[in-house]
Amino acid sequence: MRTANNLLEIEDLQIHYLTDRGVIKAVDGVSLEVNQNESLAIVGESGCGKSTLAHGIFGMLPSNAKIVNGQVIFKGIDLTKSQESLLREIWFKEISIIFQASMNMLNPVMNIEKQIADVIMLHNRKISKNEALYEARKLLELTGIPKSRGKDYPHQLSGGQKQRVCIAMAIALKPTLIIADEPFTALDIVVQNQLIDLLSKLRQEIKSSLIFITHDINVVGELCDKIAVMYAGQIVEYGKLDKILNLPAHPYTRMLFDAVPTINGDITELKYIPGEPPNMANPPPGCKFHPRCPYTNLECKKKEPRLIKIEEEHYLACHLQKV
Amino acid sequence: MSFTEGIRRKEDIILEVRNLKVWFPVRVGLTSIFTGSKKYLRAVDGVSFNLHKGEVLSIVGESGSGKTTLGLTIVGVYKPTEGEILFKGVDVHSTDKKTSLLLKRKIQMIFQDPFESLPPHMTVFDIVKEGIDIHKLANSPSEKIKLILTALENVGLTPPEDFFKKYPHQLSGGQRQRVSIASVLTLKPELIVADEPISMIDASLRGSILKLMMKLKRDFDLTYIFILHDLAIARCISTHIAVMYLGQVVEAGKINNVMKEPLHPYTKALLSVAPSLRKMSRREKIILKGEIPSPIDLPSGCRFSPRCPFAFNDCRKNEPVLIETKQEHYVRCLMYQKPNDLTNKIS
Repeated sequence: MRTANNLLEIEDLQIHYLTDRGVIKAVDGVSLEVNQNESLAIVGESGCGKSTLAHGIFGMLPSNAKIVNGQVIFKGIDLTKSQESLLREIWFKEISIIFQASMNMLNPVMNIEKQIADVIMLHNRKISKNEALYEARKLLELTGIPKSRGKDYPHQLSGGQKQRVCIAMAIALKPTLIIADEPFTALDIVVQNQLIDLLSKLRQEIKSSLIFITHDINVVGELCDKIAVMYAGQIVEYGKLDKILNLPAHPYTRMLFDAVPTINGDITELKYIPGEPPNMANPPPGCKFHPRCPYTNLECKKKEPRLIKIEEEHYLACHLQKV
Repeated sequence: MSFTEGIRRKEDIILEVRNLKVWFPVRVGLTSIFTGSKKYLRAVDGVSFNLHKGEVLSIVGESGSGKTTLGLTIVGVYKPTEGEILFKGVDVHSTDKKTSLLLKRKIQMIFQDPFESLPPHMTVFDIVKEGIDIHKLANSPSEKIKLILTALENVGLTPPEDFFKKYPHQLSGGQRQRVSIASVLTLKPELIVADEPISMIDASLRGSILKLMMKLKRDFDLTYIFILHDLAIARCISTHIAVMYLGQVVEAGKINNVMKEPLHPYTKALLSVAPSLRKMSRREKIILKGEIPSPIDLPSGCRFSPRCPFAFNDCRKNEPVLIETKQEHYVRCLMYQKPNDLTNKIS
């Protein structure tokens, strides 16, 4: 399904960690596409490989991780086989990333406007320092931090403000793809909503695509067009967000949605998914979700389901529902 | 504020918080040393409520609203600057050693981050054992082991023997939180203050921890104070709610009263941004501007007025008081205040 529209294509990506306990298949055959100006949510529990996938796309895997198979094609270039020098050109200019704890990754001994200006100057050698600082201040204002705070150091800012600085940095060079890895998890609900609004507004302004990784599906509804549900390193359901929100087909997706209490409607009993995600060094045979699935049958225990198309823009990996 | 009307009986009161103030002195520049003026961070600034046996009170509000300080003061970590906290009529901050030790056992706390609240160098067995040792709850080693076994079983860590020798880093987030619940449970507490017990846990497992806590409440006749920022969860588990803003309670009452008919603009804003999965059902969002002001230099008048979408001139001048609009529903907002409420306050 290669179309000119596809900005990012991931094909059968497998990332393994080599550890003392054996090989951990953190990402186990993931295929995804992100089109221009589209936003994709990747949801799943901790330890299902979401962050590894994000770092794999960005090309920033830890040293014990290895891309065993598959490719990540961004604008026609396979990032998995690219030299670091090329990746450095792409980072921030084409693909930028907002980390989960990126607010703790700001340089504590450099004021924030200089940190943003650094990103600008790194990719644009012709720009003068003053121009870059001016740009940086403009970006700060755009993200809702008054210009006068530009000389502040990270410790003078609140968590929400620091995350705003990170957003400013991420959009500084108007990248075509932003990867956000649980960016709002540590923040409280009011600040979370402010930042969701900010991110979706800015993204539309600079017309970039977004990959939004989270375990909290509440925030997905407002930001994303597509959703990919990950479990144990694989995608179990993938497609248009509206379709999946209305009619989740995979038992895991359904249980994930049910686990989140909502503010409207009747008060229901708290639900959760029994058990815990499998140990990825020794995953169960067959469908990896079968030990926790209430509908398991014999087939699930033996055969691994494949991701198949069940309707237009809706893919599913489950034995229970076949076309 | 008092919830004690109607069915709630006075003799069932387990915790009484009376005009509690917890202020922290702030160091400021040289000038203040010469002029002698002192500044305070008013983390909790005049909170009163009664909690009855078997109730579940959720305290909600943004980061920086003073929820955690209130919780820590209830369990006895901070000393109140003013006001008092009575547990069954006994001052929590009593200086008597024996009472103090007993109260420390009866009022327990569960912390937010199970990754940081468990000592990394101790095994699960030692962690649960520590409280039993301190409070001398077991007469013999075999009784001690039995206590630990049942505690771990009660929190769903089965088979318990498998967990004895494990260190916190070998456990998942959910399991760690269960260990901290177990260590609290062995002390046979009556009141548990849980400070965001689930915010560090995966969304898919939050329900399991809360369900466990509710089961333990029934089994052991517990009373809970939950400190939360998620109103959707507060709605599922609590009987009463108190919304805090800058050290004060701005709205409180029976959970249904507050959820169905929120009065304070801050509560309305919090509710409007509360989780709702399907975006079509989302109501008009009220996104508050800016962040919570510093509790050192408080805004004049109503503390919420600089961020309130409905603020009028009076709000910046007069500080509202907490009034009861109907039974078991209290609000601190000028919009609901009759003029004489204000004069009462001044006189």
